[in-house]
Amino acid sequence: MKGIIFTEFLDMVEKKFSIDTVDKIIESSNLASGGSYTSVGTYPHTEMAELVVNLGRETGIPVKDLLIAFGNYLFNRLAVLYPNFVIFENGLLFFLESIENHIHIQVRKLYPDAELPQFNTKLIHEKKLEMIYVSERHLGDLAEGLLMGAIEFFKQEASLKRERQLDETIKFTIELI
Amino acid sequence: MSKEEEIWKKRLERERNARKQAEKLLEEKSLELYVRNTHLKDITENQEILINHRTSALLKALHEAKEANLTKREFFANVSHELRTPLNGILGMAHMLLDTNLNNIQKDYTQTILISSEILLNLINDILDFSKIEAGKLELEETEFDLSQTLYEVLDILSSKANEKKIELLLKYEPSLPNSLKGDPIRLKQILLNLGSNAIKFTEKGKVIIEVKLVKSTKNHSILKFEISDTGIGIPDDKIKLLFNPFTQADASTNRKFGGTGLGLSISKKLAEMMNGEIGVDSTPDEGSTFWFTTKFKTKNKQQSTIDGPPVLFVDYEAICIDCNEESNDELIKHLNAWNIKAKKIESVSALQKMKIKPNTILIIGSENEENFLNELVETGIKNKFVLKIFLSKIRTTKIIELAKMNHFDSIIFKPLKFRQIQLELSASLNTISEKSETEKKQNASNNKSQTDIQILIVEDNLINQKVALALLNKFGFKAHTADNGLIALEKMKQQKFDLIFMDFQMPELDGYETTGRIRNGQSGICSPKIPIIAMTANAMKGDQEKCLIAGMNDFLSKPIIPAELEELLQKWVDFIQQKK
Repeated sequence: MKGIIFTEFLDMVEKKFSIDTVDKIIESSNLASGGSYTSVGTYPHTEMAELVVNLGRETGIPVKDLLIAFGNYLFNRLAVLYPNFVIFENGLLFFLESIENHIHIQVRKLYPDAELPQFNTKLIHEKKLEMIYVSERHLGDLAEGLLMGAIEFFKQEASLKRERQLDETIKFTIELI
Repeated sequence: MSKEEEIWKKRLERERNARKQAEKLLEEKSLELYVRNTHLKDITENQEILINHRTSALLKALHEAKEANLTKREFFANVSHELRTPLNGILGMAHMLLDTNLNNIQKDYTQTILISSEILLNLINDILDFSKIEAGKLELEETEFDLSQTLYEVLDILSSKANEKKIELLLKYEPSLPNSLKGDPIRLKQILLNLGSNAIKFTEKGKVIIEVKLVKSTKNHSILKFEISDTGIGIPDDKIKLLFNPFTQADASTNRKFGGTGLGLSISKKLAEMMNGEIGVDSTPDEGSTFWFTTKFKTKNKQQSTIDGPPVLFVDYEAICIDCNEESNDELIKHLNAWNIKAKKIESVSALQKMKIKPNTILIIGSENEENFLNELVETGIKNKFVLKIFLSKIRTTKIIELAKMNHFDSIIFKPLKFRQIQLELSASLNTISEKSETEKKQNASNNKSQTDIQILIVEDNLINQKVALALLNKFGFKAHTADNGLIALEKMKQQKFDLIFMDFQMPELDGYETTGRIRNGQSGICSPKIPIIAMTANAMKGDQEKCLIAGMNDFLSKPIIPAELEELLQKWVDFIQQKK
């Protein structure tokens, strides 16, 4: 998992809770990195799972909610850090369609070893998009949070529906209102 | 250490580790970049060496190819030239041989040699021209020339082939077309002959029309369009594009059936382009083709001459034209009208009988089948109420001439029609003189009163040429006598003293050489054996001129007669005669 996810996660924990909370969840986790993350590095995704679980334990908030909240936060941060990737003009659905074939390709150019999730999209009609999330990490909650962040960012009224598929993948349906 | 300090130390430691990780990553990436960069540089350098190597190899190959091509072209041009020289020898000798006493079989063999070598010469000329074009060595001349003369020369060459195939050959143009042009008449003739002979070659029956149109005329230039249309086999659409490519004919079978190198059209295309023009063809299979090309010529501004010659004033004449070839008839009427002769056409001779004919009417008759027509005419007859009767004939036989005389035709004009000649013929016969020449005549008369004292004899078998010469001499203020052949001339010279002779080369009974010989040897009892003799020859070959001088002639005039040349010649010899007197 890319280091930026870790640094942004810890930043969020520091902002929403406190720097002490950051210390506590690092201390209580068994991390190979020792909690030292740089955004350009790559780290095992198990470390993220451990950190989130410990944050839940520390704050008493369900892990699912934490991941959704983090996804929401992360999208806004990524949009600020990499404005060139967020094509605003053509609206939300167009942007979501561009993730797999545009953004992820650019990311792979910079980080050939990056293990990225797949967001397979299908435009049902001009106001409705299906997106299948495929990832070994099973971070569906994070993905949901990211999508919510995107909807907010684009300031478009939209409904978001999440369904677990038989093959363990998750289908999101985004429909503009 | 307090607990707080410990926490901060841990935080610091974490950040330091993160920084070190980042630095390590940076170093690794930098190294990677450095290695890749070095590798790229190596590749680039190798590529450059390779490119330089390849470029020089290519340049060498290009140079060699150019050299080879040049050598090939020079060889091509030289060989063509070397071929032409002996062929001219064959041609010349065959011509000479024909003039000797040959029996009929020998004559036939010699004709075959002549025709075969002419075909071969044409092929070689094509190849020579083509190689010149390829080598960029073909240059156009820029001389002043008469459009009408060039067109008539083309007609003369094409008419025999057209007659053989019984195809009507017709030249059409507006009387107001500019005549004095500056350009390359020989190359213009080449294109016209090429397209014209193609048209005749590919036409089994019907007609070939050469039409000249003025497309655009500015102060100093004229753009002319020449159209050569036939009623031949035509060309399918998909073959048209290929036509102007060298070595291509419409069909492989075309070559077997019709012969030719396939270079003619591509040469014509190049020549037309060199004359700032274009070339093209419109064709419908089985209906015919129209090949056309345009050219841009300089025109002489000061002397805006038109193709039908200086305006001739025919006062109060009318004409009736009968010709089963309607197109030819219409064209003739167009020109007659332009010369102020009110011309109209009628369908047949029988219609004439019922008409009221004014005494100043000229009758011009042509027919598809001349001999039958004239034979029938002998029986029915035309009342002799015309001021002038002219017969138009495609064929040139003594039979036709006799039949025409029997029908009281004043003259015969041979097709294809040359309007300028018709005009001269009319003006000579009708004793009308152009306004311009009237003043000229007066001037000449006052300058040189003794001109009419000079006795001129024209020895010429062709009636039209006789009349043309008479008309022109008249125009310059001279009166002349005529003789139809050498024997008649010698007879006339015994009876009367002449001062100057114009003599044709080829005549029945006694030709020009022989006649000159008999005049000069002083044994034929003529009054003036030392009389200046001017040869009139259609062949503008150098050898012919020499032959004239050897035969004892004094000067030569090329046919068709150019008025300015005749005037110059007259000036020279009249001075000479008057000094002697």
